[in-house]
Amino acid sequence: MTPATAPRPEDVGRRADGTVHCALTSVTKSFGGVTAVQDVDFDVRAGEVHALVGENGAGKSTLMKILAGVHRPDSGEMRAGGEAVAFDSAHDAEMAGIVMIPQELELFPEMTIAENLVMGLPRTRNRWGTFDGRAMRRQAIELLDRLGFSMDVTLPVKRLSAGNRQIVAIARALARDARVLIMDEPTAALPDRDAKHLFGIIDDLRGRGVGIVYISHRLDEIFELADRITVMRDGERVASELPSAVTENDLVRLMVGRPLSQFYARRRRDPGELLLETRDLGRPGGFDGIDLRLHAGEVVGVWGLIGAGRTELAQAIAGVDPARSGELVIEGEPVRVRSIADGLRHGVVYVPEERRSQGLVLEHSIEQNITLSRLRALSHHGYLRPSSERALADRFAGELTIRGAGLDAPVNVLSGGNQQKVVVAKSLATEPRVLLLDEPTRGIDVGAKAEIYRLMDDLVDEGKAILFISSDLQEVLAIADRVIVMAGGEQAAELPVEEATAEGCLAAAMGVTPSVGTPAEDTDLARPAVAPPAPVEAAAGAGSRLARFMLRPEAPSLIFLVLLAVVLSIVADGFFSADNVKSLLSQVAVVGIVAFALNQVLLCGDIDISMGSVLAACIYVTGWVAHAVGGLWLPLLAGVAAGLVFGAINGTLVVRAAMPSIVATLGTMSILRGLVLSRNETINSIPDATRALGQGLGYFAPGLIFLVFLLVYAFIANGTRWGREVVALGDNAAAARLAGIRTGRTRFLAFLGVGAATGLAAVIYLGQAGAAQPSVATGLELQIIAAAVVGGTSPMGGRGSNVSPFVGALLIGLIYSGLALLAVPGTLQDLVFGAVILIAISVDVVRRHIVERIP
Amino acid sequence: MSTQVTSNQQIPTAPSSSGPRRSALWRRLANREMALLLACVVELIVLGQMSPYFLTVSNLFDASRYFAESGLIALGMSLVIMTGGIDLSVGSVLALVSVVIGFSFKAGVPLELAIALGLLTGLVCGFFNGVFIARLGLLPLTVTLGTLALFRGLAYAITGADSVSTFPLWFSQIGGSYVGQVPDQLIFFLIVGALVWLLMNRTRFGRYVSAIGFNEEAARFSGVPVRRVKTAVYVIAGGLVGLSSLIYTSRVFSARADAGVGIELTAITAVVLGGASIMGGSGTVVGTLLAAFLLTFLQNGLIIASVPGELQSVIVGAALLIGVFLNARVGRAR
Repeated sequence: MTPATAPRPEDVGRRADGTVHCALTSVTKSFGGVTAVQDVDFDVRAGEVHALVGENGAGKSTLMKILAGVHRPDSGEMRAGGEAVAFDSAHDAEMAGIVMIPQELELFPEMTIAENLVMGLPRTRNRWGTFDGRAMRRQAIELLDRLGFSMDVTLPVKRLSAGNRQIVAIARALARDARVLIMDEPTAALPDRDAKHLFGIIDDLRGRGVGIVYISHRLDEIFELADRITVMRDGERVASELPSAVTENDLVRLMVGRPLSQFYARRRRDPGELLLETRDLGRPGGFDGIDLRLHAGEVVGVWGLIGAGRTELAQAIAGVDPARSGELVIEGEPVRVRSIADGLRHGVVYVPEERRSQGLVLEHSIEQNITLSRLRALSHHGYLRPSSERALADRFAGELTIRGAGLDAPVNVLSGGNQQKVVVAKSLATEPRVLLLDEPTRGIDVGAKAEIYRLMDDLVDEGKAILFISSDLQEVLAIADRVIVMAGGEQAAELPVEEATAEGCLAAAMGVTPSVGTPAEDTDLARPAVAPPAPVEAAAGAGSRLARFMLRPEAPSLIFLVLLAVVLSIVADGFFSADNVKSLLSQVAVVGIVAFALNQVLLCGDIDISMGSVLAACIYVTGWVAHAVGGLWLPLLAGVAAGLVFGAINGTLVVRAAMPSIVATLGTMSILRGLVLSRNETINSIPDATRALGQGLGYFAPGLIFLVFLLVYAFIANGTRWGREVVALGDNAAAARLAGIRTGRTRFLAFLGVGAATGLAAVIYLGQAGAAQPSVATGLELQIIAAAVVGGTSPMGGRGSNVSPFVGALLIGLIYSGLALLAVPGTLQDLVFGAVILIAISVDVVRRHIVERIP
Repeated sequence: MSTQVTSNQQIPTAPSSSGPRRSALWRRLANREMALLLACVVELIVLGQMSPYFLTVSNLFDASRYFAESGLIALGMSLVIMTGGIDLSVGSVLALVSVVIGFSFKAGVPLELAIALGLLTGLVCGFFNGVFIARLGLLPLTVTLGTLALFRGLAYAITGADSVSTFPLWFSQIGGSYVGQVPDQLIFFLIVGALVWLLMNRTRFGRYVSAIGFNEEAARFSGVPVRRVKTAVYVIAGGLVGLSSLIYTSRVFSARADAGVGIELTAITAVVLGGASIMGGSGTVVGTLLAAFLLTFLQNGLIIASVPGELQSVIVGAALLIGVFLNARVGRAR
């Protein structure tokens, strides 16, 4: 059973034409003292499907991430295409033809299929340095066509089904000329029909010489597809076999291997009264029909593959995300648990799997973390009692032997195992009767694991009940008194531990042996052979046209805009007169132009609040140059150049000095305004030539520039690489980095853009007004930000659209022009303005609500 | 490979006595508040060199009168920023409170009651922000941008273009009397500061605020009533703006709708300079207080040293950038 006896993978199933595409030799990788992959050999040849199997945590994903350049190995060799290589990033690996399709698909949900397919690729560019969307869409259609699919490539990816997303991810990999394609559980979220289709695609790729690594928990698939099978366990490679040489049972045995009894000895337990019971508990999209019984003094193990609904079930019981149907009975009383506080009151505590993000406040001390859920009892009229707090923390820190630091040390200095103990101590401090432990031993070393097991024994000895969720089957079998196997959100099997075997549980979860009782999965086996890949109809799902429209972030404000226009045209005479439209456009020009540029900054997840001051500074620069030399072009150039300089300063502070953008631009706002104020100078008697942008063409010039700017902007945002990078960055920053986007440069350019636009706006402003005082444009940044965000762009990055600032600027312009037409007193303008902004952003809440309802 | 693990469990727990505790506390102080204190001292010396009048007791107390107005707002802002939020509407709330006091008095409401109405207005404004942010889950920046316009709009709607500047004489006492040489506002401000410090450091609420700021999700998973705490934070911020507005109105002895424009920036600067992260979590009441002092003295000292008033915002802005830059470096070095 030692790895040394396993045949080296290259000795298994050598094909005549088997060029080795890439190979790992004696690769080792550990994370914070935990060895994830140890001394593993692995290779992928041309035209084969190399299946990689093993339990969760066996090291499969880590090994593949090394191959795909996500992790660097601690030691060992990598070769690709016959040469030794070392990848610094996934992008490097992609360049070498190795592409991974991870479980969490690295797609850009807000972007279209076509954009996702070509993102990060060298783009077809025309001589203007930009690319046209038609070529991109054609390329995308071709890529999908190679897979036998046709989809509407203009649909955003978030509207696709899981299966179609998988197809897009594969097409994306193919677009990178992948010679090695790594698929991590591609069928986990796929319905049978799509899975069959996927197998057809894999077969086709194999025929074209692509080497495929196929990770899956479904053994029937493995036998259907694989040319070779490598089994991993505990970070080591334990076997490489030909499918013809092994049976499913052999594989299962190889996967589970190690007995846990080496460091854990089960104690005898005597379950007592029934503490918690669920009756037909369910939550759409999570789990369904769960009947669970937890007695005092017992550990019930819940095991299942990822996505089986285990976490969702535990969180529903604890009130994190309450169940929608069924009944929850605690100590004989039917109860409703609607919040975590409710759960704690009923003595039910959930210990989350994501300990760093959900379990701990890392910057707080060990003591503060332990007592956080108990502060109500530790305070008197809200006033904390330090001695009680210390006593409680002392007690539980002592019970759990938290090592490495004193109670006042912040939790983030502790090791993973000790952090986990703090999480457990915190939940024990609530004095629960029922503990729901979600993967309590994940990612901690064996010693800490043993301590957690012993602690669980102590707790059930005290009469508590434990629901123990784990992906480690051996662990569940060694510790639990009963095992519930979950699959697809349902209870696939419930077995007393004496009757449960690793093989039986795996079989139940994977639906290998129908006798274990997985009615839902039975049809799986009887899957009819589906005809060769039939083109799937345009991925639907977006529902009606209205629904599709409502998906757009600017939809609410657009509706609002139209309504307002209709109302105004009825109540105000001459609203749609040419003069009024012209003056409306001129009014929105300054705010609108800057709002467009700001939109890009917001999409990157930054903000700029210095625009009012920058505008003032640019006005002064323009004014001085106008006085010195006159004419239009030099002052215009000077104004825009000044804007660029200020934009570059903001960009440098945010990107280079890594300051939060709101703080950095607050600083520049203050400094620039101060400098302008200190001149104590009024700009006036601007020559008419310079004022052309503001009052030329019978005062239509600003409106015209705005419209031209709109076109230029649309071109930059949609037609240039930078424009698409901005959207990608906001959509999924991690995926953007993986796609090789230099995010710092992208953000810097966005600030530069705001600077340039503000410079242009300054020249228009000066042209319109003909004069300026030091306080000019104070507070204008608020209108500009409002224009951008009211149109639907989120000031937290990502969500937003390029139409947003246009809608927003028009809306704001309309409000002011409507107020003027209706002769509303100036004193009421702010009131109306503020109310409209609040209504517009509240409507977005409704919009999101509607979007969630769309299937 | 794992048979030996159970036997070597006897590693002693680190002592949790007061020894390392105090030094840890000291180290934390040394990093932020001490640096600010040092900056204050250096600033006093430099400004003292620039003008002999600056370092006189009467001037320092005189300058400290202005602490209260921006300092109270900064205190509230620091709570908001600690939860990871921001409140841009404080200047407008200040104006609205001032207008409510002035115009309800003008309409015949007894001044005591008018003041109570004003303070209530501050709380209601904060609650309004809090409902939009904590209940509806909207972004603080967007919401308070809207209420910035809305509240000032309300103030203008009440006043028209009018103002009120006839109050009973005793009203001016709120913003203008002394205990010995110490101005009332300073004493009042220090008392409120101490109360907020107690709230943040000695109560359950304070712990909740900090937990939410560092990790809102973990706070929620721990059973912290996140929405209620966040709403309360905006209510407190609104209440403190109300107090600030009362002092301001009394000092300038008039109620106008254009009061307090841009004061949110001074407050945010003080909070960020005081060591709070705009992302939430870190930040201390003492840091905010020290930064507020630093800024107020800076402004006062520059006036006295006859630096043009307009250059002050340049220096304040530069102080902010340098402070944040150094802050990040200190944080990284540790």
